[in-house]
Amino acid sequence: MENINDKKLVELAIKKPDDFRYIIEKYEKKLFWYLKRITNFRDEDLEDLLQEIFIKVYRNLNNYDEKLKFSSWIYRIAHNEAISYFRKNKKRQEDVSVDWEYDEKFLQRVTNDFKINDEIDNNKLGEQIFGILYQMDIKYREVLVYKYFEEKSYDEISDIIKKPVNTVGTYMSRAKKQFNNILEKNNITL
Amino acid sequence: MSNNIIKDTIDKIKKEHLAPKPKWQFVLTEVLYWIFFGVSVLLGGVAVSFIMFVSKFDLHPMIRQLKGIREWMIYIPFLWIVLLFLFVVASIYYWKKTEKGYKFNVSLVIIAVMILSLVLGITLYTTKLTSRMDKQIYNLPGFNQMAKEKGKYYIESQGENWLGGQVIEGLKDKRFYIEDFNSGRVEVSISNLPKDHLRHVIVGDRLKMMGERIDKEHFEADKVWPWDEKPDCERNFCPRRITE
Repeated sequence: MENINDKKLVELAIKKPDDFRYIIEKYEKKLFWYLKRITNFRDEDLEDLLQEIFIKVYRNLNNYDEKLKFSSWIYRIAHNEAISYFRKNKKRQEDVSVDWEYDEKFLQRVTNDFKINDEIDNNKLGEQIFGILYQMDIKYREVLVYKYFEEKSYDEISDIIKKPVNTVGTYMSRAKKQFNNILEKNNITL
Repeated sequence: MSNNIIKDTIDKIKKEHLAPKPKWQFVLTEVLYWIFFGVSVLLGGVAVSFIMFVSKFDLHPMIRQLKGIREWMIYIPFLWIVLLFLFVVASIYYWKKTEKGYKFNVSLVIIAVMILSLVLGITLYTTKLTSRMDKQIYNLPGFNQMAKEKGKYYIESQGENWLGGQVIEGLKDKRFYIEDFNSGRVEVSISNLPKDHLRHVIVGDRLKMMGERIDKEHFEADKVWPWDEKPDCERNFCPRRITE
Protein backbone atom coordinates (compact mmCIF):
# COMPACT_ATOMS: atom_id res chain seq x y z
CA MET A 1 0.00 0.00 0.00
CA GLU A 2 2.98 2.31 0.42
CA ASN A 3 3.22 2.83 -3.33
CA ILE A 4 -0.40 3.80 -3.79
CA ASN A 5 -0.91 7.53 -4.02
CA ASP A 6 -3.02 9.51 -1.58
CA LYS A 7 -5.83 10.07 -4.07
CA LYS A 8 -6.27 6.33 -4.48
CA LEU A 9 -6.11 5.84 -0.70
CA VAL A 10 -8.92 8.37 -0.30
CA GLU A 11 -11.05 6.54 -2.88
CA LEU A 12 -10.46 3.23 -1.11
CA ALA A 13 -11.33 4.68 2.32
CA ILE A 14 -14.56 6.21 1.01
CA LYS A 15 -15.64 2.82 -0.30
CA LYS A 16 -14.52 0.72 2.67
CA PRO A 17 -13.90 2.02 6.22
CA ASP A 18 -11.29 -0.68 6.90
CA ASP A 19 -9.11 0.76 4.14
CA PHE A 20 -8.95 4.05 6.01
CA ARG A 21 -6.20 2.32 8.03
CA TYR A 22 -3.74 2.94 5.19
CA ILE A 23 -4.15 6.68 5.53
CA ILE A 24 -3.75 6.44 9.30
CA GLU A 25 -0.66 4.27 8.91
CA LYS A 26 0.91 6.76 6.53
CA TYR A 27 0.26 9.87 8.60
CA GLU A 28 -0.04 8.90 12.25
CA LYS A 29 3.62 9.24 13.11
CA LYS A 30 4.09 12.49 11.17
CA LEU A 31 1.00 14.04 12.74
CA PHE A 32 1.85 12.79 16.22
CA TRP A 33 5.23 14.54 16.15
CA TYR A 34 3.72 17.60 14.57
CA LEU A 35 1.18 17.81 17.40
CA LYS A 36 3.88 17.16 19.97
CA ARG A 37 5.99 20.02 18.62
CA ILE A 38 3.06 22.37 18.50
CA THR A 39 1.42 21.62 21.83
CA ASN A 40 3.89 19.62 23.95
CA PHE A 41 0.97 17.82 25.55
CA ARG A 42 1.26 14.40 27.17
CA ASP A 43 1.39 11.46 24.76
CA GLU A 44 -1.94 10.08 26.00
CA ASP A 45 -3.66 13.41 25.35
CA LEU A 46 -2.08 13.62 21.93
CA GLU A 47 -3.28 10.14 21.04
CA ASP A 48 -6.84 11.16 21.90
CA LEU A 49 -6.42 14.29 19.83
CA LEU A 50 -4.94 12.30 16.97
CA GLN A 51 -7.89 9.94 16.99
CA GLU A 52 -10.27 12.92 16.82
CA ILE A 53 -8.29 14.27 13.90
CA PHE A 54 -8.47 11.00 11.98
CA ILE A 55 -12.22 10.73 12.62
CA LYS A 56 -12.61 14.25 11.25
CA VAL A 57 -10.45 13.39 8.25
CA TYR A 58 -12.61 10.34 7.61
CA ARG A 59 -15.88 12.30 7.88
CA ASN A 60 -14.54 14.92 5.46
CA LEU A 61 -12.94 12.65 2.86
CA ASN A 62 -15.43 13.79 0.22
CA ASN A 63 -14.28 17.35 0.73
CA TYR A 64 -10.72 16.58 -0.27
CA ASP A 65 -9.79 18.82 -3.19
CA GLU A 66 -7.47 16.97 -5.55
CA LYS A 67 -5.84 20.23 -6.61
CA LEU A 68 -4.39 20.40 -3.12
CA LYS A 69 -1.67 18.10 -1.81
CA PHE A 70 -3.31 15.51 0.43
CA SER A 71 -0.63 16.10 3.05
CA SER A 72 -1.55 19.83 3.12
CA TRP A 73 -5.22 18.93 3.45
CA ILE A 74 -4.69 16.50 6.33
CA TYR A 75 -2.30 18.91 8.07
CA ARG A 76 -4.94 21.62 7.71
CA ILE A 77 -7.43 19.51 9.65
CA ALA A 78 -4.75 18.64 12.21
CA HIS A 79 -3.84 22.34 12.49
CA ASN A 80 -7.45 23.40 13.14
CA GLU A 81 -7.98 20.69 15.73
CA ALA A 82 -4.60 21.30 17.37
CA ILE A 83 -5.19 25.05 17.71
CA SER A 84 -8.64 24.53 19.15
CA TYR A 85 -7.39 21.77 21.52
CA PHE A 86 -4.43 23.92 22.54
CA ARG A 87 -6.66 26.87 23.43
CA LYS A 88 -8.93 24.69 25.53
CA ASN A 89 -6.15 22.84 27.33
CA LYS A 90 -3.32 25.35 27.53
CA LYS A 91 -2.59 24.55 31.16
CA ARG A 92 -1.84 20.94 30.38
CA GLN A 93 1.26 21.84 28.42
CA GLU A 94 4.19 19.88 29.83
CA ASP A 95 7.40 21.36 31.14
CA VAL A 96 10.10 22.05 28.67
CA SER A 97 11.79 18.69 29.16
CA VAL A 98 10.99 17.58 25.68
CA ASP A 99 11.09 14.09 24.38
CA TRP A 100 12.18 15.43 21.04
CA GLU A 101 12.94 13.25 18.10
CA TYR A 102 16.59 13.65 17.20
CA ASP A 103 16.98 14.95 13.69
CA GLU A 104 20.37 15.93 12.35
CA LYS A 105 18.96 17.71 9.29
CA PHE A 106 16.60 19.77 11.43
CA LEU A 107 19.47 20.95 13.64
CA GLN A 108 21.49 21.81 10.55
CA ARG A 109 18.66 23.90 9.11
CA VAL A 110 18.10 25.76 12.38
CA THR A 111 21.76 26.44 13.07
CA ASN A 112 22.22 27.80 9.53
CA ASP A 113 19.23 30.14 9.69
CA PHE A 114 19.65 31.39 13.25
CA LYS A 115 23.45 31.62 13.30
CA ILE A 116 23.68 29.24 16.20
CA ASN A 117 26.94 27.70 17.25
CA ASP A 118 26.80 24.20 15.76
CA GLU A 119 29.59 22.90 17.97
CA ILE A 120 27.26 22.71 20.94
CA ASP A 121 26.08 19.26 22.06
CA ASN A 122 23.17 18.27 19.80
CA ASN A 123 20.92 17.02 22.59
CA LYS A 124 21.38 20.19 24.59
CA LEU A 125 20.88 22.26 21.47
CA GLY A 126 17.62 20.48 20.66
CA GLU A 127 16.30 20.97 24.18
CA GLN A 128 17.25 24.63 24.17
CA ILE A 129 15.52 25.17 20.83
CA PHE A 130 12.34 23.54 22.13
CA GLY A 131 12.62 25.56 25.31
CA ILE A 132 12.46 28.68 23.17
CA LEU A 133 9.76 27.34 20.84
CA TYR A 134 7.40 26.65 23.73
CA GLN A 135 7.72 30.24 24.93
CA MET A 136 6.62 31.55 21.55
CA ASP A 137 3.12 32.45 20.39
CA ILE A 138 1.58 29.35 18.89
CA LYS A 139 1.01 30.93 15.45
CA TYR A 140 4.70 31.80 15.17
CA ARG A 141 5.86 28.54 16.72
CA GLU A 142 3.75 26.69 14.20
CA VAL A 143 5.27 28.27 11.09
CA LEU A 144 8.75 27.46 12.38
CA VAL A 145 7.69 23.87 13.00
CA TYR A 146 6.30 23.65 9.45
CA LYS A 147 9.44 25.05 7.94
CA TYR A 148 12.18 23.43 10.00
CA PHE A 149 10.60 20.11 11.04
CA GLU A 150 8.03 19.36 8.39
CA GLU A 151 10.04 20.98 5.58
CA LYS A 152 6.96 22.58 4.07
CA SER A 153 7.17 25.29 1.42
CA TYR A 154 5.46 28.68 1.91
CA ASP A 155 2.74 27.59 -0.52
CA GLU A 156 2.07 24.45 1.50
CA ILE A 157 2.04 26.38 4.78
CA SER A 158 -0.40 28.82 3.17
CA ASP A 159 -2.70 25.92 2.25
CA ILE A 160 -2.45 24.43 5.74
CA ILE A 161 -3.10 27.52 7.83
CA LYS A 162 -5.36 29.10 5.17
CA LYS A 163 -3.52 32.41 5.00
CA PRO A 164 -2.10 34.17 1.92
CA VAL A 165 1.51 33.31 1.06
CA ASN A 166 2.79 36.79 1.92
CA THR A 167 1.11 36.53 5.34
CA VAL A 168 3.07 33.29 5.85
CA GLY A 169 6.20 35.26 4.99
CA THR A 170 5.28 37.92 7.54
CA TYR A 171 4.60 35.27 10.20
CA MET A 172 7.93 33.65 9.43
CA SER A 173 9.96 36.82 9.85
CA ARG A 174 8.08 37.72 13.04
CA ALA A 175 8.61 34.18 14.31
CA LYS A 176 12.36 34.44 13.76
CA LYS A 177 12.41 37.81 15.47
CA GLN A 178 10.49 36.44 18.45
CA PHE A 179 12.79 33.40 18.60
CA ASN A 180 15.85 35.64 18.71
CA ASN A 181 14.26 37.96 21.29
CA ILE A 182 13.58 35.05 23.64
CA LEU A 183 17.11 33.83 23.03
CA GLU A 184 18.52 37.19 24.09
CA LYS A 185 16.06 37.79 26.91
CA ASN A 186 16.84 34.47 28.58
CA ASN A 187 20.52 34.89 27.91
CA ILE A 188 20.67 31.49 26.26
CA THR A 189 23.99 30.70 24.64
CA LEU A 190 23.59 28.61 21.56
CA MET B 1 3.27 6.33 21.01
CA SER B 2 0.88 3.41 21.34
CA ASN B 3 -0.02 1.29 18.33
CA ASN B 4 -3.74 1.35 18.99
CA ILE B 5 -4.68 4.46 17.05
CA ILE B 6 -5.48 2.54 13.87
CA LYS B 7 -7.56 -0.07 15.68
CA ASP B 8 -9.29 2.45 17.97
CA THR B 9 -10.16 4.78 15.09
CA ILE B 10 -11.51 2.03 12.83
CA ASP B 11 -13.45 0.53 15.77
CA LYS B 12 -14.96 3.91 16.58
CA ILE B 13 -15.97 4.44 12.95
CA LYS B 14 -17.70 1.05 12.90
CA LYS B 15 -19.23 1.26 16.37
CA GLU B 16 -20.72 4.70 15.78
CA HIS B 17 -21.64 3.88 12.16
CA LEU B 18 -19.70 6.90 10.95
CA ALA B 19 -19.48 7.54 7.23
CA PRO B 20 -17.89 10.24 5.09
CA LYS B 21 -20.25 13.19 4.69
CA PRO B 22 -21.76 13.24 1.20
CA LYS B 23 -20.09 15.43 -1.39
CA TRP B 24 -23.24 17.49 -2.03
CA GLN B 25 -23.09 18.91 1.51
CA PHE B 26 -19.70 20.45 0.82
CA VAL B 27 -20.76 21.66 -2.62
CA LEU B 28 -23.91 23.22 -1.15
CA THR B 29 -21.93 24.98 1.58
CA GLU B 30 -19.55 26.38 -1.02
CA VAL B 31 -22.42 27.52 -3.26
CA LEU B 32 -24.13 29.19 -0.29
CA TYR B 33 -20.97 31.10 0.59
CA TRP B 34 -20.77 32.35 -3.00
CA ILE B 35 -24.43 33.35 -2.96
CA PHE B 36 -24.03 35.21 0.37
CA PHE B 37 -20.94 36.90 -1.04
CA GLY B 38 -22.82 37.94 -4.20
CA VAL B 39 -25.83 39.22 -2.26
CA SER B 40 -23.57 41.21 0.08
CA VAL B 41 -21.79 42.82 -2.89
CA LEU B 42 -25.14 43.57 -4.53
CA LEU B 43 -26.49 45.18 -1.36
CA GLY B 44 -23.23 47.13 -1.09
CA GLY B 45 -23.96 48.36 -4.61
CA VAL B 46 -27.48 49.38 -3.56
CA ALA B 47 -25.98 51.29 -0.61
CA VAL B 48 -23.53 53.09 -2.93
CA SER B 49 -26.34 54.00 -5.33
CA PHE B 50 -28.39 55.43 -2.44
CA ILE B 51 -25.42 57.41 -1.16
CA MET B 52 -25.15 58.92 -4.65
CA PHE B 53 -28.89 59.39 -4.88
CA VAL B 54 -29.16 61.16 -1.53
CA SER B 55 -25.98 63.19 -2.04
CA LYS B 56 -27.09 64.62 -5.38
CA PHE B 57 -30.06 66.17 -3.61
CA ASP B 58 -29.71 69.92 -3.26
CA LEU B 59 -28.40 70.08 0.29
CA HIS B 60 -26.98 73.60 0.33
CA PRO B 61 -30.07 75.51 1.43
CA MET B 62 -30.66 72.97 4.18
CA ILE B 63 -27.14 72.76 5.53
CA ARG B 64 -27.37 76.38 6.65
CA GLN B 65 -30.16 75.34 8.98
CA LEU B 66 -28.62 72.16 10.33
CA LYS B 67 -27.88 72.77 13.97
CA GLY B 68 -28.30 69.61 15.98
CA ILE B 69 -26.96 66.08 15.56
CA ARG B 70 -30.45 64.84 14.77
CA GLU B 71 -30.71 67.14 11.74
CA TRP B 72 -27.31 66.03 10.52
CA MET B 73 -28.34 62.40 10.99
CA ILE B 74 -31.36 63.04 8.79
CA TYR B 75 -29.52 64.67 5.91
CA ILE B 76 -26.15 63.00 5.70
CA PRO B 77 -26.72 59.41 4.41
CA PHE B 78 -25.23 57.86 7.55
CA LEU B 79 -27.60 54.96 7.32
CA TRP B 80 -26.40 54.03 3.83
CA ILE B 81 -22.77 54.60 4.77
CA VAL B 82 -23.16 52.27 7.77
CA LEU B 83 -24.99 49.72 5.61
CA LEU B 84 -22.27 49.93 2.96
CA PHE B 85 -19.66 49.26 5.65
CA LEU B 86 -21.64 46.26 6.96
CA PHE B 87 -22.13 44.80 3.47
CA VAL B 88 -18.44 45.20 2.66
CA VAL B 89 -17.54 43.42 5.91
CA ALA B 90 -20.07 40.67 5.13
CA SER B 91 -18.68 40.30 1.58
CA ILE B 92 -15.15 39.88 2.92
CA TYR B 93 -16.33 37.40 5.55
CA TYR B 94 -18.10 35.20 2.98
CA TRP B 95 -15.27 35.51 0.49
CA LYS B 96 -12.81 34.28 3.11
CA LYS B 97 -15.14 31.35 3.81
CA THR B 98 -15.02 30.14 0.21
CA GLU B 99 -12.64 27.32 -0.66
CA LYS B 100 -9.93 29.50 -2.23
CA GLY B 101 -10.75 32.73 -0.44
CA TYR B 102 -7.78 32.47 1.91
CA LYS B 103 -5.32 32.86 -0.97
CA PHE B 104 -6.01 36.57 -1.33
CA ASN B 105 -5.00 39.42 0.94
CA VAL B 106 -7.81 41.12 2.83
CA SER B 107 -6.75 44.52 1.47
CA LEU B 108 -7.01 43.19 -2.09
CA VAL B 109 -10.46 41.72 -1.36
CA ILE B 110 -11.61 45.04 0.18
CA ILE B 111 -10.49 46.96 -2.93
CA ALA B 112 -12.17 44.43 -5.25
CA VAL B 113 -15.42 44.50 -3.25
CA MET B 114 -15.42 48.31 -3.16
CA ILE B 115 -14.87 48.52 -6.92
CA LEU B 116 -17.65 45.98 -7.55
CA SER B 117 -20.02 47.88 -5.22
CA LEU B 118 -19.13 51.15 -6.91
CA VAL B 119 -19.72 49.79 -10.42
CA LEU B 120 -23.02 48.24 -9.32
CA GLY B 121 -24.00 51.41 -7.49
CA ILE B 122 -23.31 53.61 -10.53
CA THR B 123 -25.23 51.18 -12.74
CA LEU B 124 -28.25 51.18 -10.43
CA TYR B 125 -28.13 54.93 -10.12
CA THR B 126 -27.77 55.73 -13.82
CA THR B 127 -30.48 53.26 -14.84
CA LYS B 128 -32.87 55.04 -12.41
CA LEU B 129 -33.39 51.83 -10.44
CA THR B 130 -32.36 53.66 -7.27
CA SER B 131 -35.10 56.17 -7.86
CA ARG B 132 -37.64 53.33 -8.16
CA MET B 133 -36.28 51.65 -5.04
CA ASP B 134 -36.47 54.96 -3.19
CA LYS B 135 -40.16 55.17 -4.07
CA GLN B 136 -40.75 51.73 -2.55
CA ILE B 137 -38.60 52.45 0.49
CA TYR B 138 -40.45 55.73 1.13
CA ASN B 139 -43.51 53.75 2.16
CA LEU B 140 -41.66 51.62 4.74
CA PRO B 141 -42.52 52.81 8.27
CA GLY B 142 -39.04 53.75 9.55
CA PHE B 143 -37.88 55.27 6.29
CA ASN B 144 -41.17 57.11 5.79
CA GLN B 145 -40.74 59.07 9.00
CA MET B 146 -37.15 59.91 8.21
CA ALA B 147 -37.95 60.94 4.63
CA LYS B 148 -40.82 63.13 5.81
CA GLU B 149 -38.60 64.93 8.28
CA LYS B 150 -36.03 65.44 5.58
CA GLY B 151 -38.67 66.69 3.15
CA LYS B 152 -40.06 69.06 5.76
CA TYR B 153 -36.67 70.63 6.38
CA TYR B 154 -36.00 70.91 2.68
CA ILE B 155 -39.26 72.69 1.90
CA GLU B 156 -38.88 75.01 4.92
CA SER B 157 -35.35 75.87 3.86
CA GLN B 158 -36.51 76.79 0.33
CA GLY B 159 -39.01 79.41 1.45
CA GLU B 160 -42.65 80.05 2.14
CA ASN B 161 -43.89 79.63 -1.43
CA TRP B 162 -42.78 76.03 -1.62
CA LEU B 163 -44.66 72.77 -1.18
CA GLY B 164 -43.62 69.14 -1.32
CA GLY B 165 -45.18 65.75 -0.72
CA GLN B 166 -46.48 62.49 -2.12
CA VAL B 167 -49.26 62.40 -4.72
CA ILE B 168 -52.29 60.70 -3.23
CA GLU B 169 -54.84 61.45 -5.91
CA GLY B 170 -54.18 61.90 -9.65
CA LEU B 171 -54.78 64.83 -11.99
CA LYS B 172 -58.37 65.87 -12.61
CA ASP B 173 -59.61 69.29 -13.79
CA LYS B 174 -56.13 70.76 -13.43
CA ARG B 175 -56.04 69.68 -9.82
CA PHE B 176 -54.37 66.87 -7.88
CA TYR B 177 -53.87 66.07 -4.20
CA ILE B 178 -50.74 65.49 -2.22
CA GLU B 179 -49.93 64.50 1.32
CA ASP B 180 -47.38 67.08 2.44
CA PHE B 181 -44.56 66.32 4.86
CA ASN B 182 -46.69 67.31 7.83
CA SER B 183 -49.10 64.55 6.74
CA GLY B 184 -51.67 67.13 5.67
CA ARG B 185 -53.83 66.77 2.53
CA VAL B 186 -53.30 69.66 0.12
CA GLU B 187 -55.14 70.37 -3.12
CA VAL B 188 -52.72 71.57 -5.79
CA SER B 189 -54.02 73.66 -8.66
CA ILE B 190 -51.91 73.77 -11.82
CA SER B 191 -53.92 76.35 -13.77
CA ASN B 192 -50.82 78.57 -13.96
CA LEU B 193 -48.65 75.89 -15.52
CA PRO B 194 -47.94 76.09 -19.27
CA LYS B 195 -50.42 74.25 -21.46
CA ASP B 196 -49.78 70.50 -21.92
CA HIS B 197 -47.00 70.65 -19.41
CA LEU B 198 -48.54 68.31 -16.85
CA ARG B 199 -50.90 65.76 -18.29
CA HIS B 200 -50.51 62.92 -15.78
CA VAL B 201 -49.54 62.87 -12.17
CA ILE B 202 -48.62 59.44 -10.89
CA VAL B 203 -50.03 58.48 -7.52
CA GLY B 204 -47.18 57.58 -5.15
CA ASP B 205 -44.66 59.94 -6.76
CA ARG B 206 -43.14 62.67 -4.66
CA LEU B 207 -43.08 66.18 -6.07
CA LYS B 208 -41.85 69.58 -5.06
CA MET B 209 -43.37 72.76 -6.35
CA MET B 210 -43.11 76.51 -6.25
CA GLY B 211 -46.15 78.75 -6.24
CA GLU B 212 -48.56 80.40 -3.89
CA ARG B 213 -49.96 79.03 -0.69
CA ILE B 214 -53.64 79.99 -0.71
CA ASP B 215 -54.37 78.45 2.67
CA LYS B 216 -53.44 75.35 4.64
CA GLU B 217 -55.21 73.01 2.22
CA HIS B 218 -54.80 74.80 -1.13
CA PHE B 219 -51.76 75.57 -3.24
CA GLU B 220 -51.43 77.23 -6.65
CA ALA B 221 -48.37 75.76 -8.40
CA ASP B 222 -46.24 77.75 -10.85
CA LYS B 223 -43.49 75.18 -11.23
CA VAL B 224 -43.41 71.46 -10.46
CA TRP B 225 -40.45 69.09 -10.23
CA PRO B 226 -39.99 65.45 -9.33
CA TRP B 227 -38.79 65.30 -5.73
CA ASP B 228 -35.35 63.87 -6.44
CA GLU B 229 -34.38 66.34 -9.15
CA LYS B 230 -32.69 69.64 -8.57
CA PRO B 231 -35.10 72.52 -9.26
CA ASP B 232 -32.95 74.08 -11.94
CA CYS B 233 -34.88 73.27 -15.10
CA GLU B 234 -36.36 76.69 -15.64
CA ARG B 235 -37.63 76.31 -19.20
CA ASN B 236 -39.19 72.89 -19.24
CA PHE B 237 -40.12 72.49 -15.59
CA CYS B 238 -38.58 69.01 -15.64
CA PRO B 239 -41.64 67.18 -16.89
CA ARG B 240 -39.96 63.83 -17.58
CA ARG B 241 -41.20 61.81 -14.65
CA ILE B 242 -44.42 63.53 -13.87
CA THR B 243 -45.84 63.35 -17.36
CA GLU B 244 -46.30 60.38 -19.63
